[in-house]
Amino acid sequence: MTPFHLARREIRHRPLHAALFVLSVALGSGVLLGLSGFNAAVETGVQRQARELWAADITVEGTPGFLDDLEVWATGRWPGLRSARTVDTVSMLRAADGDGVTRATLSGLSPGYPLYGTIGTGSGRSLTDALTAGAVASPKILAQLNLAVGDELVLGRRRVPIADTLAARTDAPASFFEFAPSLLLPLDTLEDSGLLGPGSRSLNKLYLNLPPGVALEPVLEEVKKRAAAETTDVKSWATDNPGVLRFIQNTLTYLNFLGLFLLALAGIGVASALQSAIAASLRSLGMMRALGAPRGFLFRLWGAWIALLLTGGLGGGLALGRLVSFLLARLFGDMIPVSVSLGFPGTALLQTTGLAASAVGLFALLPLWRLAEIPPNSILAWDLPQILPSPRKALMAGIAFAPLFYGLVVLQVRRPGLALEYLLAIAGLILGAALLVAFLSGILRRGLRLSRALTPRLTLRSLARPGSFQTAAGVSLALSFAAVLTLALAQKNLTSQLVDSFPENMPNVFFINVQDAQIPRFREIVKTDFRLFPLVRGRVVSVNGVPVRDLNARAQQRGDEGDSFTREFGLTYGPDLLPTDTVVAGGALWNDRIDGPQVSGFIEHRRRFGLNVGDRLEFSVLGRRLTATVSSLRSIDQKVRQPFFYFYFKPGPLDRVPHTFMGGVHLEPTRLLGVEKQLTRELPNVTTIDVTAIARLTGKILARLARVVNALGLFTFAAGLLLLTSSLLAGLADRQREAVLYRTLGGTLSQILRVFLLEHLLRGAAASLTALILGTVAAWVLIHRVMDLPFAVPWGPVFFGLSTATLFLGAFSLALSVRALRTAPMEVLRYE
Amino acid sequence: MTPTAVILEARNLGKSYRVNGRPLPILRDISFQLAAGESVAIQGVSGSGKSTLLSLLAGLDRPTAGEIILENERLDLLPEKELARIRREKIGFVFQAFHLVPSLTVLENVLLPAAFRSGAFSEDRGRALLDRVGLADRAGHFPDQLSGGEKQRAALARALVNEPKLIFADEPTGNLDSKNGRAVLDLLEEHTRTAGRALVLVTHDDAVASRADRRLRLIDGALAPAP
Repeated sequence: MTPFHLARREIRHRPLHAALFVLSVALGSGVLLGLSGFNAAVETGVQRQARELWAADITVEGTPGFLDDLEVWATGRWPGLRSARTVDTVSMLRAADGDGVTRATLSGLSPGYPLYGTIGTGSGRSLTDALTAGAVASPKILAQLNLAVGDELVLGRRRVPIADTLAARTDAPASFFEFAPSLLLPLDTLEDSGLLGPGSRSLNKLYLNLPPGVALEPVLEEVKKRAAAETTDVKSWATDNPGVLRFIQNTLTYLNFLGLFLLALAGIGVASALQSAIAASLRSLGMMRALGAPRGFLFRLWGAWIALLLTGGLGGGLALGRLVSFLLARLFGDMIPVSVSLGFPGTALLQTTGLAASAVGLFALLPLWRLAEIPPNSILAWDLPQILPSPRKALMAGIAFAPLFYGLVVLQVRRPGLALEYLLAIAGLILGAALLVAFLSGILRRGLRLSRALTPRLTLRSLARPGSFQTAAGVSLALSFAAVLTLALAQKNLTSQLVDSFPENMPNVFFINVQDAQIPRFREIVKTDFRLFPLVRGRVVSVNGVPVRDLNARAQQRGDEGDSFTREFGLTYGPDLLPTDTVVAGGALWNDRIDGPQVSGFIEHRRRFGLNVGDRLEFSVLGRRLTATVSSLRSIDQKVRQPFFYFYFKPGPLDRVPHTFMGGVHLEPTRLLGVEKQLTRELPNVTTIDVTAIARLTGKILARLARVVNALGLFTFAAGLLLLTSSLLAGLADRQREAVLYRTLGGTLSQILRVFLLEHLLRGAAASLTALILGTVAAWVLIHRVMDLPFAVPWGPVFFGLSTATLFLGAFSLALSVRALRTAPMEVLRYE
Repeated sequence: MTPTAVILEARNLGKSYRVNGRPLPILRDISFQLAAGESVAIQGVSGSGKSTLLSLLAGLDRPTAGEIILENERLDLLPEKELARIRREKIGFVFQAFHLVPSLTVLENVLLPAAFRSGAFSEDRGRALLDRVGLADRAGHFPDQLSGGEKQRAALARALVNEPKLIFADEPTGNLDSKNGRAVLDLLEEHTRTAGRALVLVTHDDAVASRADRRLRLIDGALAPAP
């Protein structure tokens, strides 16, 4: 009779405990496996479609002049190299017949684009053919302007026929994030429209495809070196990910944290299930000790129990993981820019399974450790010894195992710094929740003591029943409610503040690409006085001779993932301090002792890149070099709600550089459409950016993410319910004795049920109130402190939601406790 | 009685617990000897310390004073690991509440002590024991399918599986009717006296105690011959 045989017997005899263990393992491992599988599927999809996503081997962003030179150099350097160019800009369009206007992303494409992948048309003909006849428009543009193929659009000074509609495209498949629908046209048509002037906000790109037999890496290095002087972004499908994908991957990293939190909860569920199984078998274990079973035998018996159920649980986790992957794919939907085929690559499977098994092993150790405390003479006692979970020992075990758990987290998310922050945050959150649950439970108990009625006084005794897993269940339920509540409150506030209504002190529209000569007519159309800022696009090339690429790389090596120093910046100039700014270094905005051009920088760049007063910055502005000395550093107060600029020049060097003007203002929504139409007719190069449209897109993204987090939140809630079930099972014998005693002394069944129900409702209320406090504080921090928006709680729906949760928990717990009433009194009274 | 015939000896045994910082004596200066093949009944009112004395003699607990010697081994000095060895090799137990493992069959319950030893007994031995106690046809049944008397007979078979030198029976008929109680006592007598095993029988029942060779009574923590 091996320990495995005995363990199998024990599992068959107490299937509920076994089921709880298996479900906890399956839940914890399944969600993590699902996240890993989905992540791997997205990464695989991106690798598979990388070339099509980038549309070329190498892409370079830069000014038109620089890209012209680079293209000539590259095609000469590598004979057989293919190239293409694109220009993207956001602009207003109008129907040639009619007064409809709409915002669109205009993409001018040179012949041959895309170099990899396809852009499909509605008619099925090739893009090249379609562009020969006119523009290819997103169906959304046709719907918004009530047009059809064959109708004409007005772009600046050109009338352009709509030759076809846009179907699927491999270079920009994630239409979910589209701010404005796309209009594709020949590059020379866009250039001829007059919408692009010097200083206009547009994205210019060069695409290069290597000739056969030429290796990518050396060419990429050479192009980067060539472009380094201009600090342009040089990317390749082999080394970079598209921006949308980085967003998805960052989201999945944070979802992985949720998965790890769920694993921790599942681990507590595992410990609770094991604890309650051991508690139910205590008499048999005491008897075995009396008969001479060595301690090692008991460990082997329960080790076999754990091993058998762990295997079953991991199998269940695999099935659940598939479901979770499928669910994530459905929930993310068109946010994912590539097609994903779900599955579990070997490494992801091994790693996650190992992680789950290790976590289970760690959490199972504490109850096993207590096995050694079963005294051999316990069998002679009337009352069994209370082998209860000890909070002190649990804390010691937690501290001892924390480094191991940290290692496992690092293995999963691959970012040690972030993993440490996460562990500290989660430890703080759990501790905070535990303290709150205990505090609120204490208040509720004090309330009960004031009552002289029978039910509350008996409930008081029930609440004092030992068993810290009840607290663990309350904490895990509180945290899962809190996560859902935080997101719901954040989403509600963002939607009501930015989408349904807009704060009056906040600009709700920005105008860009206003030419100098157009300002008087522009002001007449808008009819509202507000500051227009001169705007020049430029890049920083070097700081005191050190290329900014090096400064950027150093920041990234430190794990600093903030704004890039190599990107294009909006530069402006003026004599006095901008309304958003405060000088924090250098004493005053400008320094009379500096000869030559002066520029005021952003204080955050000192922290990230070591920028200081007195440094010499070299800029590239429209292909020309400009060096300026840093006269001061400013902090920027984004609460002022005006455009802000990281680099602010003293008047002089930029005055004669071709530039445009931009500004933001709050317009009544009823006026906005009229202003847009008039501007599109008379000043077609001026683009309006409706901030509420951005807010709607943000709301859309948030709503989609909320669906994903809420789905995972349900699993967290399920883990909490498993914990609750385990803890109720562990206390079943105690509850049976209580029930039998009350009945023997003359209590009715309904009186006993009222006691149980009140106990469960109070525990549920403590968890719900904890969730209310934690969730509201977290949402307040996010909305008010981070995003600086007013915060309000819709008390009605929140109260309703939490009351429903409390009632559900009470009913659920009561349903499980009713088992205690089915025990025949003599079974308990006769001590057998 | 020659020393070699003595299987169990207690010398000046004492046990006390600390309650609110003060010692509470349960047993005081208990001395007696038990020979192989002899049976002794220990009687006393409820709370007199019978279970405490039994747990000391069986190596389930440690005395606060005195010595316990089982086949020349000082139980009071041995570590728990050695005490466990002695319990599985030399001692058999029969409890009032039977204490069969509910998840195991009757045969598996009988063979359980063998599972604790490195050299396991075969099923044949278990079946033979069950046959001797009249449960041969219940080998594959579970404890909740047995009557009280049948459970106690299965527990007796379990107590005999490792051929112990000494059996401790704690109120073995306490949960049985008189007919089953007599049957269990007959079996106990058969498998102890005739097999040369010693028996320590803890009971409050005079009729049960009268079946033993000697009767001792615990009064105020001390042991004296019963009248």
